[in-house]
Amino acid sequence: MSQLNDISLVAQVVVFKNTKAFDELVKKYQSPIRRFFLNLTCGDSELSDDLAQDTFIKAYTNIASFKNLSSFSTWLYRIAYNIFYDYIRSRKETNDLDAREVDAISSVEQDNLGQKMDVYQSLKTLKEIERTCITLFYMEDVSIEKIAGITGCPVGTVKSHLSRGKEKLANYLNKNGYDRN
Amino acid sequence: MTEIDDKMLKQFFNDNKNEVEDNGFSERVMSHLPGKAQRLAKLWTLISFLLAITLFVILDGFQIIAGILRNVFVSLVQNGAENVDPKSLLIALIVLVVIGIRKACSIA
Repeated sequence: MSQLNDISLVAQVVVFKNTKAFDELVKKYQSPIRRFFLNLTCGDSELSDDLAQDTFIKAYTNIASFKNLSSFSTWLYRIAYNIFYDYIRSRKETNDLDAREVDAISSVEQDNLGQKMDVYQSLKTLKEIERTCITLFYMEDVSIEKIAGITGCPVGTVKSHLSRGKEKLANYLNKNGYDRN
Repeated sequence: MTEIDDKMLKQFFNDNKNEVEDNGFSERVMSHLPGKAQRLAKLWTLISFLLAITLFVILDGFQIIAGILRNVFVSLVQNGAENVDPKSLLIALIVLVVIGIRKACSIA
């Protein structure tokens, strides 16, 4: 039902250039997309919002290329993933730093994060691709097959990234005394 | 990687999964959409065009143009009709028409 509604809104944007329909899509997906970027950038809210804005603008300009082969959310995550990797690449080119160092530098500590800080700290222990897979799988409840579609990796590779990421995170949480109950 | 660790991770991410408040984000995105500036520019052009037409009618623009053309024609006839080359006039007229058509096409 939700997917049908998305298709209807997309059709209105493509055919009638209906910006109100696109506004509805932005309102519906702003939370998961911004949360996805918050996790990828380890809590940098300003950077996350900039990347999320770029994602929605790119989605709007390329909305005619949405062929309904996947759900709208998968298509949007794929754009978000590409935007994030373009950003990482541009930072690597300008700073010539390892992406993990870039992440550590760009992450901004915020007030009132409480336990949230542990999530971002724990995600810092992962490589970007592992972080992407773990975030999509656990936080956004995306299936492994869809993650493969979003990242452009084979299913087996996604499973490997998830496995390595899980192991690192479990070690981190065990070391930091996370209560599993 | 044990099943217990897997459950722990699911629990950990569930505990920390929160909705992100909009706080004007959607509005910012909508105001940055490409094409909005173009639409505004087109709207301004239309308003300016309508204003120009209205002023032209109110200020009796047709009468003024007709007066100017009449004066030009009269002075042409009085001062040198015998020196005017009809071929030159025809060429000038064709050139003006071509320029006018090209201008109209570029605006469209």
